[in-house]
Amino acid sequence: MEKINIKLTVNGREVSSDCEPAKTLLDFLRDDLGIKGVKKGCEIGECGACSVIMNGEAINSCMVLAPQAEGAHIITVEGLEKNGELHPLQKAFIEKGAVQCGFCTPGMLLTAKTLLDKNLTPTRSEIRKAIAGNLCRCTGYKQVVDAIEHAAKVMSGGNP
Amino acid sequence: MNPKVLEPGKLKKGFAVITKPLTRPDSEDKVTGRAVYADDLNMPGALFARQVYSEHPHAIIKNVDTSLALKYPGVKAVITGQDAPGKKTYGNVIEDQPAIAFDKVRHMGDVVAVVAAETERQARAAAALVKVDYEILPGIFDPREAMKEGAPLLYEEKKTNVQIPQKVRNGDIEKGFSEADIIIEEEFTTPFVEHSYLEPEAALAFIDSNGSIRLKGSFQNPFTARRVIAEFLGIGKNRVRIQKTTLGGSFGGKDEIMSGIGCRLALLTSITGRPVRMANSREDSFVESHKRHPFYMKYKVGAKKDGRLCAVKSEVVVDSGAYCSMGPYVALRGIVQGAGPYKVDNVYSDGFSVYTNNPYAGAMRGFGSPQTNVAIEAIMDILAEKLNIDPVEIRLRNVIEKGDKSPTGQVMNHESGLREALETAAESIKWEEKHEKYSVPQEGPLKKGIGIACCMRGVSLGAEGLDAAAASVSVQDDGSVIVTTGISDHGQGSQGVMTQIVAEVLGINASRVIYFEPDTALIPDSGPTVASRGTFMGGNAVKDAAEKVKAKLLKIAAELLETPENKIYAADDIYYAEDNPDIIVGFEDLVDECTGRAVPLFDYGWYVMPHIHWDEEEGVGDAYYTYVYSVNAAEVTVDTETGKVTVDNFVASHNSGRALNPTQFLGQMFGGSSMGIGFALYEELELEEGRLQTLNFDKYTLPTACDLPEFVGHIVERPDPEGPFGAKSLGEPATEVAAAAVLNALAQATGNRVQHLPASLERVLLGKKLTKKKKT
Ligand code: FES
Ligand code: FES
Repeated sequence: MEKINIKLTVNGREVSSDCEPAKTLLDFLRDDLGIKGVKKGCEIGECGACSVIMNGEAINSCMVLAPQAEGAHIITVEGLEKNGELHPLQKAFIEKGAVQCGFCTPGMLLTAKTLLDKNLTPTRSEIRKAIAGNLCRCTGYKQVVDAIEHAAKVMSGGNP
Repeated sequence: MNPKVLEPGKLKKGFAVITKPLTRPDSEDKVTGRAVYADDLNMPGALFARQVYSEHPHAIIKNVDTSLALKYPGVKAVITGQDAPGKKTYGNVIEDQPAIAFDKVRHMGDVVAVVAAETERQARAAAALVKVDYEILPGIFDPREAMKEGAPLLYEEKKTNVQIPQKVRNGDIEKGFSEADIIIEEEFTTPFVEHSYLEPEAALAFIDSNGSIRLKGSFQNPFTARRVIAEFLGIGKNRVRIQKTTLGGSFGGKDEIMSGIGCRLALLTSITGRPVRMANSREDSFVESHKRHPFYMKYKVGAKKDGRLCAVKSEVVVDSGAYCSMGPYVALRGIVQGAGPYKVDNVYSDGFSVYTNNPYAGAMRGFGSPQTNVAIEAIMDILAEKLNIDPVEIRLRNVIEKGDKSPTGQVMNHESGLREALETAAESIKWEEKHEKYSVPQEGPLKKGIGIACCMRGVSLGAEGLDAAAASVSVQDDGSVIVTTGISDHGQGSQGVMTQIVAEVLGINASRVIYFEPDTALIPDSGPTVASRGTFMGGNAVKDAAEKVKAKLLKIAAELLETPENKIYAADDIYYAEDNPDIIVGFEDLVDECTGRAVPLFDYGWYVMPHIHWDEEEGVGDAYYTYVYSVNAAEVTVDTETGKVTVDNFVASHNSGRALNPTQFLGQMFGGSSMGIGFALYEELELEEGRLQTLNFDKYTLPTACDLPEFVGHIVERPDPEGPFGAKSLGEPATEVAAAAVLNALAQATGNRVQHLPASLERVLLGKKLTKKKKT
């Protein structure tokens, strides 16, 4: 199959790579760019393990073809740390016990970041709605919601 | 070296490390994407393997033609069942499962051939070219039918589809019923359930520098896999080395399937000399992996007017699917715990696990008891209603306490804490007020209900098998510490707990300790991490190893502090004399001193579960050494126009001994509860004549964040003398009684009891499941 060239920005870094046109963004990120923090759980847009942020929105990267991401800004879990410091969401996930097997965690973090980028004072039910597309089999979500709520408070400068 | 003087205020008493909500050591890797899962592995030159599954649920394999596939570009090898160099079949209880099917296929998930090619795409294309010639056999898909005379047999030579029947016999069942004032007879069924770990199975195999075969992957039980793979290849266990990667969940699921995948990859790597890797898609995983056993249960229960139980009789038929896996033990646990955590003198139960041509079933969090708990706990509520006793009260009148006998006649020498657990759960969910309110007819389409359920659980393997675990603790000369156990972490947090135990024993900061995942080349076989044995077995082994190392440290510390060893206290990296806490020696200095004197700060730990006596012939005795106890309470709203059930509130109250890490303890509770809620309301694998209709999460419904309530957890702490620092186990109890509580709440809300799970919209609304017309 004829490969096509794709240019995009991943975690602030510009990348240019040849890619099969039918490849999903998920496979492109994992196999071609070696970004393994993006996880593969169902490949049909149901589990959210493959969530990344594309141009400010959380999307399922298994449901997007790589060429559709031409010129896009992508953030994966690897891009959350800033200058060696964990993002408040990452810290909160650790502290609040929101991580068990961790397979849903990257997707969960990115969906949560998109929520908090738009709304720093979400209610618990808004948080639940936001992450409803991210399945977690381990935690029962309670400690995940705790963590997101806590991070929101930290980020808005309030007293958590 | 000279001891120093302690800074004021440094002296602490009580536990320094355990019981503290320390964060998990693995969580930083997991929030940054650095954690390496099986599918993240690759090696230069690695081939990609693709499996070919059966096309029929039951057929004889007459011929497998691989010639076309072999000619496909990029293909390096194709293997079939005839290529097994050693033993063709494996199994924990009965060795009936082929690594690659060779004579027959017995379910749709059997692998008949595997292709290894340069790329994934080539492997897939070539796999489609493997031609198998089948002689189709009649299949059997209902275990109750499969038990009957004349049913098609999965294993002709066995003459029956029934595996090893299990029983419980205690007291005199006829006398029990004759003394009863009321007798209830009910039937219940539960469906096939998918583990639904978020990470599908994957592995990588390659030949090591010393010629042995190394596998890395999502192995739940590395030692089991190593045995199976070595036997399949016909080589020594020492020539197979398994390293598990970070597991994206397992819940009992990544067991036999990983042994099978391991055999195939190991064979392909030894044939081609190249590394070979493989990752199942979600659809592959649904087809190939084992499930939770469907149970078909008949119960007859007798009680006195005051609600006290006098007889429990049950017959449980378990659909084991194509292979035995853990079938008989799942049935055994189901019936041992199937009379509830109650004082009942007369019990007569049978458990039959039966072969069918459905997907095979095996271990899944709960292991037989979530199913029987649904039955016995429903019956407790039916009794309560008929006898006009409150559901909490009827349980309080029956629960086991220290010194009482279990339904198998075992004297319980530990505290159950059930009274307190029931009371805290009831109070927390506002039982009295709500139960009364929802008992009277409710206006409008939305009806509310509240339900409670309780259970006991035998810790670890008990009557299911020999139970031992290993660990090692090694202090490096810089004061850092490595701990390893044969117990593996599936995501439940063993790492943190093991680290905390070592730190507590050695009196050091937990940050000094690092935990390495089990590597079969470096640590003795510790059996499988199943049956919630992680904390109890692994924890005890780690504690043993740490205590042996501590003894060496104390010997030197005693000299330095001029104090007898038994008078030295250690915490927070400081060793000091109890009666003279001003003089101290720091942990690092002490290690230095030991290094200088060539004292090896390394040791192995080993823990064997105390002996119990279970009489398999008679079906009576001590089924497990010790038990844990749980209570769940749920409040639901049912929309009687749509059938939708919402769990509004959920309280879990557990006595699992001491909670070594409260944050993780609660995490297990909530995760377990959510799996139980899924079992009650959503989850079911649809099958048509052995063919799965649910192959991914579009049709298989898992609870989302919007479907689950704000869980509340209570820790009823009754430290167990045999557990490490009094801890027992929680993984499974957390899940096994949740469904029962939800179904009891649902019954109060609607006045109708759903006895065939799950309580999906149509079952709640119509009282039955809409079945599609059979194809003619
Ligand atoms: S892998 Fe993309 S949603 Fe599941
Ligand atoms: S932590 Fe395992 S799936 Fe969420």
